[in-house]
Amino acid sequence: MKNMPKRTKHRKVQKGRLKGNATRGHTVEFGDYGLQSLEAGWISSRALEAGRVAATRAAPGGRITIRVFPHKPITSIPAETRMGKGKGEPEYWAATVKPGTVIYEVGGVDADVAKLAMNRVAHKLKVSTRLVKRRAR
Amino acid sequence: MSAKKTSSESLKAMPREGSGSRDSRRARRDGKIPVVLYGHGEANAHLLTDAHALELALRTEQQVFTLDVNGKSESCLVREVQYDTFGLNVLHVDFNRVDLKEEVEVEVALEIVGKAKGVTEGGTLVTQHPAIWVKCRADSIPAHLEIDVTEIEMGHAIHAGEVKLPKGVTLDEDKMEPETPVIAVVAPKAEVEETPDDEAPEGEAPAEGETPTDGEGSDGEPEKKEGD
Repeated sequence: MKNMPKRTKHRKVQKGRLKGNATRGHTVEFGDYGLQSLEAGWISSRALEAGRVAATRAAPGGRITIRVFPHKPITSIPAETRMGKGKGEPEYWAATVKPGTVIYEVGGVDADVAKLAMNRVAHKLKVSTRLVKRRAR
Repeated sequence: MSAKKTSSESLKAMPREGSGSRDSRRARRDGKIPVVLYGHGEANAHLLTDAHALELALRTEQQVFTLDVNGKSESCLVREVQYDTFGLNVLHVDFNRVDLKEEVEVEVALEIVGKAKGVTEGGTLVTQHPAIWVKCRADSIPAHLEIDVTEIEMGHAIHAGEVKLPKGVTLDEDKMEPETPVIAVVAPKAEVEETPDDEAPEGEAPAEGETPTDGEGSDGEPEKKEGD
């Protein structure tokens, strides 16, 4: 699975700032348990994929949902390059995450398995996270 | 099937003096939660309740509460609870005045019992609706509805109309159709073994307005302008 947009309007975008908490995507909707970010940050498509693989292995038979998508192209300039000469080339894709965003969800498995899976995923991410449970009402 | 019925718990509330977000924030800082009480043709009442008592009450399965406002008790249903981003603190609650003998429409949580046949065959139990809408008298709202999933086979589901409801409780067909699947067992997705060719380098980016395909000349490499 290619974890990047199929088509973009612009190849490069500005860094932007991540201010405030998440006002959407902060509740568990599809699974029974979720992994909620406690920090703002960029999560690379590689990290997201690594998390998905880790969760699938830890919770075989479970249903893993990734709630974020790496829409943002992150550029960098090559090593040993003089400053200037414009913006660097896109290196990887990242999902922007605010505090409160539910990044992964897992369903269809027991609580212990779900917790283990989310713990394995948490180790792949560069933001601190917490486990959250779906609210019945 | 149904478990015990919900009992009514009394919560003390006092009228709010101010209104608006600034006043609400001040109230929350003082350990109070703004709530609104409406319905039955009476004027809306903007109230404050004790945060700790309200949060403890909301953790129970009960749906009918008794609000004690200046010595006057009113039975009410919780219609909406607003939480903060992290789901830790209650920000606001909507209470709906209710007559205990009238029929009300409420959402009742489902409690899964047993292990589905389809799960033992390798399927995944998916809860599509953790609660269903029912109609019943306000004084006989079930705390939760137990749903036996042992007979669900792979690829099958229990629909809202098939959930066994206690006497006096019916499905609210205006809000939830009987054909709505609530719990299903889905077959596991076939794992596709990724070949090294599938793993595209992270640096690949589609050019502006283009959709990169596997064909030649569209490998996703960023175009370089002359003079760079």
